[in-house]
Amino acid sequence: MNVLKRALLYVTKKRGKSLLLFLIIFVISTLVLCGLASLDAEEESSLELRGTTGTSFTVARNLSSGSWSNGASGSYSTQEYISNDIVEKISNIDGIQAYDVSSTTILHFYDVDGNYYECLNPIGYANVDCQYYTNTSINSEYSSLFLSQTFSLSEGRHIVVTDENVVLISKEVAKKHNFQIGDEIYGVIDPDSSDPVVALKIIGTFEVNIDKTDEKNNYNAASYYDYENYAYTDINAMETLLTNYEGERPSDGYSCVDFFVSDPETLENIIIEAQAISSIDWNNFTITANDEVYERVASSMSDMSSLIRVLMIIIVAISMGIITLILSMWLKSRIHETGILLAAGISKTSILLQHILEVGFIAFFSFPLSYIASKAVAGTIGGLFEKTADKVIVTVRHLRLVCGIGVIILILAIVVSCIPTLKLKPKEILSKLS
Amino acid sequence: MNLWKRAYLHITRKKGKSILMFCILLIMSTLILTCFAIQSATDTAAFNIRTSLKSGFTINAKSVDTQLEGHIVSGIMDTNGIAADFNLRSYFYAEYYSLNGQLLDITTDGAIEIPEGYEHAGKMVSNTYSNMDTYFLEAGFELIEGQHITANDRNVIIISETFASQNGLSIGDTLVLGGIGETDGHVKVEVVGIFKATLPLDAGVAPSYDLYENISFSDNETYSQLYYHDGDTHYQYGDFYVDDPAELDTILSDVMSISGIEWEKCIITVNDVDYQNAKAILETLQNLVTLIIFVVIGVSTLLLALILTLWVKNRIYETGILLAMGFCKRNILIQHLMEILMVAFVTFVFSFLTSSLIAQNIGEHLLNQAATENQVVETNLAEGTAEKNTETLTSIEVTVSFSNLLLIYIIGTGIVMLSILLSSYPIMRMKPKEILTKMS
Repeated sequence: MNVLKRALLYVTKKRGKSLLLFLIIFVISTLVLCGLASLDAEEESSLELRGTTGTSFTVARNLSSGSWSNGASGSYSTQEYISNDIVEKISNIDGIQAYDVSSTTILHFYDVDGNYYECLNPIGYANVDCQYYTNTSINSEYSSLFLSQTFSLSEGRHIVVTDENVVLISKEVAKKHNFQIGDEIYGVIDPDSSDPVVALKIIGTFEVNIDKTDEKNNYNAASYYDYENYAYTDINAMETLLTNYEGERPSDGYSCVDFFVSDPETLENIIIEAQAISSIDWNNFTITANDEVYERVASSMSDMSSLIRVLMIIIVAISMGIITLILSMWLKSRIHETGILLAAGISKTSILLQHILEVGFIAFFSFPLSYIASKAVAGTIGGLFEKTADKVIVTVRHLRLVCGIGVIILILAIVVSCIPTLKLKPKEILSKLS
Repeated sequence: MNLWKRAYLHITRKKGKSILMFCILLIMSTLILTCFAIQSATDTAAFNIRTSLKSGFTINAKSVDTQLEGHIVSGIMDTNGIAADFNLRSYFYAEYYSLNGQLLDITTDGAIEIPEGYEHAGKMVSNTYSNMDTYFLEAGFELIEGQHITANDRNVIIISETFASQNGLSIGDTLVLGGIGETDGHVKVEVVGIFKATLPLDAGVAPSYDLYENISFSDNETYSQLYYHDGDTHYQYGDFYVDDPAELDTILSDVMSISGIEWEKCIITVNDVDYQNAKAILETLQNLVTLIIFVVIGVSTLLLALILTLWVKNRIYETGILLAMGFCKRNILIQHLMEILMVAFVTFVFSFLTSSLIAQNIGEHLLNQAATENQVVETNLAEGTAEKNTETLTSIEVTVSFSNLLLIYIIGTGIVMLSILLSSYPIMRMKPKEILTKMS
């Protein structure tokens, strides 16, 4: 009788025992699959958690290394501006999620007939009451006031890099003038000059969440404007609006740009990579890391992920230990059989191979089934915690890992637990039994 | 031979098997105990993350007649869950006088107007901690000489570099502040610091008192003496922080039940953006741990049941003989139970040791990691943004608690008994003869 047949017969005849071993391998590999999937979920979630700290770095003109000049409005720096080219090069670095510029201009808004749109809380001077404190933005979602939740988008969408001639206004102003998303308003910098008028399409409105009356914010010009009278527009619109203002147009460059990284852990490397871009003269610019929030939570966050990782590793390691122990228990109960087989003249290698084949047959069915089961387990239990379910995903990669390592462990366990028995002579084995 | 003796003999004679069973039980209980220890440690870590995301609220009591008074502030600070750091601030205007009553000079270049009555006045900001003021945090002010104002300072002032040189003032000099408007209060203050504005004033329309050169910083006592002089301390704004942002709503309602102030006139702003951003994903991580622990417990229970079935199945032969010898079924069943429970008892004692050992190792691993991380932070990012507040964090302890231990013992014993009963059932139903014929 050949090895294969013997193994097959054993598995089919000792149905109860085979079923048990099948269940044990099945249960343990399900656990390991869930563990591996959770490990991946942990990595993804931790990355996302770090991402919520909104870590960024700011590139700004280095005013201290540039020279100064005098003009009508006092002295000004002649330092190089951050050109679109530089912005593009830095934003192309891997790991940069988004970037935004921040520059402000006062715009006057009016309708197609030339009637001004009065701002909220007017003070009674017509030329001031239609002024809006307008931020130029590439990705308004990342502008500081939106990030700090001072503003939140209430309708429509944010400004993105491809936008042309669009505007975001406050919900209150929209209500006052009955603006709808998609309406057009006209903006100009100085209505009494030859400045171009640009038709701006309202693509969204924002809500003001913060108590603007708190005087802690009153340290610059922005404090003279109610938050409701803020507006956001894109760089293309600003380029046209600023036609007459040489040196202030977006194409002339920006004075500072914020780059947001998706993983704060990579911040340092990204900064180093940015500083290695040879076409940028870093003597003219400064880089500041904005990672206060991350620095505060970094150690607790890494504690959390190490704890979870250790937990998963312990689970996987212990599962391996258990399966080894169970296999040795299984083989121990077969000393009698082994002795008889040896006495019947079957070689030790053949017996060992038989054991391996038996377990192999069983594992062949256990592994794929545990793949299906672990998917179900992750789904049902994960479902109890809503969002967690989407993260714990058992993939074929996990199955491959379990199969690969599982087969090695099973073989090793069988070989190791067979050694004591196989070292004995048939006679010794049989005498040991009685 | 009595039951106990039989069980004992079985364990001691079949050493290999007993050791195996011991190992399996030990591994499982260690695994579950370690899981619990890690779970409570992750809860601490999550709490630390929440604490580090510094959330709080600001009370704007400017519209209340008496504003925030000292006793209200102590009431708030005594509320459960309020963190130790806070900042109280007020904004006002004051005329600057020399000690002998002469009006001091202010900067007027660049001002859009010099309002009447403010020819020698500037904007003043009083803070519990002046280094927490937005001028220093955001507008680019830097202290170039002296010290920042802290909670214990009384009647002190920080002035601008320009104002100091204009009026020949230096650290340690005294000047007099005069209230503007309905008050006629005068307060002597000592110069403790001099600041410099590193960024230009981004406003083309500032009145004289708002120019950076004319701004100065003082303590809340000075503000109260100048504008209230009733012996109490008053504050326009209070910034408070909480230990756990998840409790912010409860704490806020506790705070608002403090009597003695017209809460409806106050504007309360909650500052917990960072926490709100991290909240969902943080909960996901915690759920992940709970999820995997559920799976581990489920799998362990199932495994134990299966293994015990295997163990009982291997003893059909022996059972048959015992039955043939006239032992009753119950007796045999109890023997099996006794055997496993004896092993389990030893296991449980050991599992406490092993899981504590593992937990301790994990704890040390975390400590080492934190130590190396601190070094990394110190050596890199030298710009000084890495200000750690680890001292306020709860240290993470990975320990096996006694209640968890007890839980495992009770549940473990339950599982063992149930598995043996269930797996013995088919054998026990058979007659001795059936069992013995089945063997061959």
